[in-house]
Amino acid sequence: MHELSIAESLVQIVREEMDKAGLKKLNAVHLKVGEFTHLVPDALSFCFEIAVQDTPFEGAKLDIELVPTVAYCNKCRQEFHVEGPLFVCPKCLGGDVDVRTGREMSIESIDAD
Amino acid sequence: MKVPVIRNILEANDRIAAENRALLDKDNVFCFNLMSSPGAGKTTLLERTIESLASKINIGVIEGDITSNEDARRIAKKGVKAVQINTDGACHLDGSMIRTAMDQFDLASLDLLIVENVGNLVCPAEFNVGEHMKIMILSVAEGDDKPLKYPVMFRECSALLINKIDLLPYTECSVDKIRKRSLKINPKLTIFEVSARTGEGIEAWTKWLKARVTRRKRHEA
Repeated sequence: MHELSIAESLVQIVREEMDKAGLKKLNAVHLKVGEFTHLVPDALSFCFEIAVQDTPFEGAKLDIELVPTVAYCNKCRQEFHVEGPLFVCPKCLGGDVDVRTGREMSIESIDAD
Repeated sequence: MKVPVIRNILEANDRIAAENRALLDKDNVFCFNLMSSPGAGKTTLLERTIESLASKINIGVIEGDITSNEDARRIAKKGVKAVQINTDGACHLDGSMIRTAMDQFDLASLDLLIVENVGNLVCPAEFNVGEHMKIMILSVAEGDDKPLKYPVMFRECSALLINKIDLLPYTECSVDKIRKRSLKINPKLTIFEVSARTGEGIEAWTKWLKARVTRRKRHEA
């Protein structure tokens, strides 16, 4: 259940950004979460709700954009969507691939007043 | 109003991990983060590893467990300093826990610092602690489908130890399938087949590990 510690890190960053911008009421936080992470969006939303309970951020929502796992085949020099757990180029069936997206865990923006 | 932020959620942990790494590098200590599911044989593997290497290099161990100091006691019996971290329920170690434990070692006197993570194939894969390398164990009793079920862990690790090969006659597990599936997730994985119980295959692993430690001492890696 690592979502709770991730939610706490998230709240910490949001608090810093709110203070910096002089904002008081948090409406939503927009996140990007890669498919190739062990971050479960529903569990993260639930933990976020708990983390902001009885704080000025209570009631704020998480808006999570899932980022597909995309890899780049160094041999075929093209990107492909990784379906399933295997990092194998669908064209040459080789494994010399770099992960381009799918490992994200970032805050993109906050919606606040 | 919408305020752009663009910050990594785990930046606080990553920052502490980077500081840990700098402390290790200052004293040329090689550090690996050992991960597996519960019962795959992490502590037994470390016991064999210490038996083989302790006369040649100075080793320290950080033991992560939800509760109990059983593992640290086992390691200390081998004549190596072990610091126990109890996470009190948390499913993984993070950078700040490792910093606290690192402070209890004289890093300048160490060649190798081993972090034994909490038994779990999921969460520890997401948290850097400052290690140079992530290494995992999969025991044959767990089955050859595990690479397909926990691909993030297999992708993040540099080496895989397939443990308990002495039990192969009693399982349906195929080492060949583990190898093929793991390499399709991460072709750069170095794979060892070992039995920490009988000692089979341990020499190849410790030889490889010692070479990593030596390289770090010479600032080559």
